[in-house]
Amino acid sequence: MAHHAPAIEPDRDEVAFRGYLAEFAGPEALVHGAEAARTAGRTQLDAHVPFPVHGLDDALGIRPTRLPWLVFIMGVTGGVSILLFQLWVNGIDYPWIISGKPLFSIPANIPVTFEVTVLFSAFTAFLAMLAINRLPRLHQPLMETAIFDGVTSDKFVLFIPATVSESAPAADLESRLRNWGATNTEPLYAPVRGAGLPRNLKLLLICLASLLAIPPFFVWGMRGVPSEEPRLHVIFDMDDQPKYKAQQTSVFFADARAMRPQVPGTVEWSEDVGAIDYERGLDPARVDDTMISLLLQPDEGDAAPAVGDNAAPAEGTAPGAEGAAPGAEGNAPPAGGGNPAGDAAAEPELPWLEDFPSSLVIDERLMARGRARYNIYCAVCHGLGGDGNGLVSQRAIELQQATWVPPTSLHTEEVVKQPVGQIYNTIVNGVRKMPAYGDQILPQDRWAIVLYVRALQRSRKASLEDVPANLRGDLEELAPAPAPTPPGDPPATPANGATPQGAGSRGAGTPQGTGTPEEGAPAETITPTDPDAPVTEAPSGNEAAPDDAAPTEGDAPPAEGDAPAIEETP
Amino acid sequence: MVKSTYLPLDERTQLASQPAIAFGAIGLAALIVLIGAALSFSGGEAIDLGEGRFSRTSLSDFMASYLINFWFLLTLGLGGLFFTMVQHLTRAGWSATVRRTAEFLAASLIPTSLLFIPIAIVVLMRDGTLYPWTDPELVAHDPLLEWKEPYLNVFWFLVRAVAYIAVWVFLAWRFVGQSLKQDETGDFRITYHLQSLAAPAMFLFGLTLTFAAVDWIMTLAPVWFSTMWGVYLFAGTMVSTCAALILLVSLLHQFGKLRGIVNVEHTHDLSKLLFGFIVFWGYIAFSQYMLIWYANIPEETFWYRFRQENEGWVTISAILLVGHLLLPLPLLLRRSLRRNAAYMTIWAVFMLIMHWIDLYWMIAPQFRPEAPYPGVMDFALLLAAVAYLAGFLFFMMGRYPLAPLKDPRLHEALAFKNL
Repeated sequence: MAHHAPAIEPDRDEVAFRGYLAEFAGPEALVHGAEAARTAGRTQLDAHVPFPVHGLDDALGIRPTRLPWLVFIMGVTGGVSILLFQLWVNGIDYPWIISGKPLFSIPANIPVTFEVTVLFSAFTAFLAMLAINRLPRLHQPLMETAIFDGVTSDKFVLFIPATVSESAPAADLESRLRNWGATNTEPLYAPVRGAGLPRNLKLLLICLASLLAIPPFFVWGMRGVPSEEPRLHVIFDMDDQPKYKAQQTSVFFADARAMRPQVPGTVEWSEDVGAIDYERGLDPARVDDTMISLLLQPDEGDAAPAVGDNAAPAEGTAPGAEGAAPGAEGNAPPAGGGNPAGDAAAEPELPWLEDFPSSLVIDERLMARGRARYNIYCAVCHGLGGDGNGLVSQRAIELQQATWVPPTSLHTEEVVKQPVGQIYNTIVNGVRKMPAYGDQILPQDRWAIVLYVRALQRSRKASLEDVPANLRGDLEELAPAPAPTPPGDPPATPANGATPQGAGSRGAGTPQGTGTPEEGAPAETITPTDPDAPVTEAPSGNEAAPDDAAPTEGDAPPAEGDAPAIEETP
Repeated sequence: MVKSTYLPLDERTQLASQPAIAFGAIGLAALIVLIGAALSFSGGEAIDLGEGRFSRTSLSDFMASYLINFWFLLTLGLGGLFFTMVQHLTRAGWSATVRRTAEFLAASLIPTSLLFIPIAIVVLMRDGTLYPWTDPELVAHDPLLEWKEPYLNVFWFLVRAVAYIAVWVFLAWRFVGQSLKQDETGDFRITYHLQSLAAPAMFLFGLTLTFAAVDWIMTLAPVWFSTMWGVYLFAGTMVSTCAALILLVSLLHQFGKLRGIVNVEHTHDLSKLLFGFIVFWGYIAFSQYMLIWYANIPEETFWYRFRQENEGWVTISAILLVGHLLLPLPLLLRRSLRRNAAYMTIWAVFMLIMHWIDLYWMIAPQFRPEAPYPGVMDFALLLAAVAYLAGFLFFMMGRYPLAPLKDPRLHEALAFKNL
């Protein structure tokens, strides 16, 4: 059995002698043999046994593994990185308060840190073990030796690598192995150059790799291609929402209303319950108890103005928003063109506040605030210019929504004439189809919006004298361009006038028409349409004009087709 | 059949019996307790703490110290019992030689259980001296306590206590007694018997330890609750027991006992267990803390909040966090350190101290919110506890072999090596 010719020799290019495999009778003999081999100066020994053998590591002279250090370093690395990552994500890049906890709090971050430390350690232990052992290998020459066959069940095999000088099996080494207790020996040959992949496997891998390259090409090819198809809808979780929307009916309640009136006796929460002018838009001087109790009716059940059933909650306890809505609605009969008047006429006129409440500080900041709030809450329907041509309305008309009532233009006579208190009340409680915004907008902001609405309205009727003297020059410079537009027809003006130059200003800084491409320009672009328009901007600062003036115009072009419809409605 | 290895009863496995020293130590312990009790009885002054919801007397202060040190002894006994049982349950070969040391600890459960009697007496006084819920006045005015009354009442509390103690005494008597019997007969069937007993015993152990922890410590703050309480106490129990085993083996080695029978391999394994349970303790302690911290429900958080925000108690909490977890974690990580018996002995003593602080941290704040640091009485009773346990162990070691002489797995333990 001595020179068992390796089976691999014929069909490999070149094989080299790598060392001897020696089989021993049992674990003790193996340990003894390994010790003897080491005593004889052999190094780099390896053993292959069916179970762990005590003392074998020492006998083989295996150095303590470096693996624990690698695991430790990588574990610490993982823990520290994930801690920093959490600090960056939640503490710095996207500060978001969760459950009232600090943005960066150690207790909340420990579980993730712990897990990632374990993850890094485990992967390092596994992968570094493979790497240190140079595994996996495509070909293991040991597997082709006869002696290696039973090594996982009952054989105890020692491998003694050849030294540099030993290029071929030597009889003396073999006999020494026998002396050390080996019962059987076999030389190990291995290819000089590592065996490559089997040809079929190579082909298969190439095919797979080519196939994998196709999807990226598809993705690349489809980049930036518009599609009419709706997006792939994988998760349907938000499609069916078991909830009621405003004004829907419900079979659950006896009165079939999904919106519930407030429970009698509900105590109102408000920042300033007392100030009837500031909070309700009513003139304190002209308000009497009858009106208050009527206005603050908790339930519209007694629609008859039989007034003040004294059991009704007193002022402070009444629900403001919804409860008051019916009363308020009745008070705007002229505005409610399409509204079935019904008993509206029977409702008494409420003493709306004619001027802004005295506690309100009116300044540029309030105006700016009002514009910002208006653009957020109101402009989607009423349009940035207040013409009732907001995007929602345009879309609803485009879709021919049968129930859609176009929003009122704020420049109609009814609205212009309305006292500020009434506009305020409309914001709080809504009117006709307009929902109540009282629970979304705080009193201060409601007044800010009223102020801005007033400014919008005035912009349609302002004269050159209203423009600050230092800015008049700008206007005159632009004056020639829009000469044909007849001023003084507020509702029509924006729709008609905006079209020619609105298109220009919408073209992202196209010089056409506007003439002034600098920052302040968009504000002036209105000028041609209506020479007085920029006056609106004057109190709130010229430099901020692009925010509202330009978009106002910007809204117009898409509305072109619908504009007539809007104008006709009121 | 494999030929059994027997150990001879020689100088390595036998300690000279000196009952005078043993009983002297126990007597000293009893004396300290009696003097402490007498002093505290004489100075009985009721203090109404209002929000703290208990009236504190000098007696309740004494009982707080007593409870801390009672639990210190109890956890060592219970840990010894658990260690013994788990070796049988897993048919562990490596531990046969150190198991006897754990059995001595387990045997201490039998006399330690008697130390519950003073607690029972104080509970029977029904005045809230130790447990606030024993005060009928307080219960009547607190809907929560009233609602808990079917469980938290004196009679049912004592019935449960007797049940726990009965289970522990039975298990200790069975596991230790049979092992000692095997020393004489060498009957290997005893090993099989204990092995099959260990499985149901483990259930009983888990239940009794959990309920005892809840009954005897958690109800000191009767409206507070944590579902991890039992596991938390178990984690501390095992830390202290592994530490105690390392310390005892090291002490016996000092006197030339068990040399060659319990070697560095066993110390290494005990150290691994100690390290593992330290991490486990940290895991459980943090989990318990984080759940309460994150949920942020006032009825749960007040317990931690006090320990975290009170100027003195936060120091104790910090000592616990650092000493019980953060310090030993890196310093016991390295293999070569865990194989160093002297180094591990120092850590064993340190961890026993930490376990005592852990118990102090659990119990004392309910009694002395404004006095965070241990007082003379705490140390006196700790001294008594150590004297008592030392006396008991000395007595047992003088009377019985220090290793199971005829255990069928002895040869495994003697040949044991950590690969």
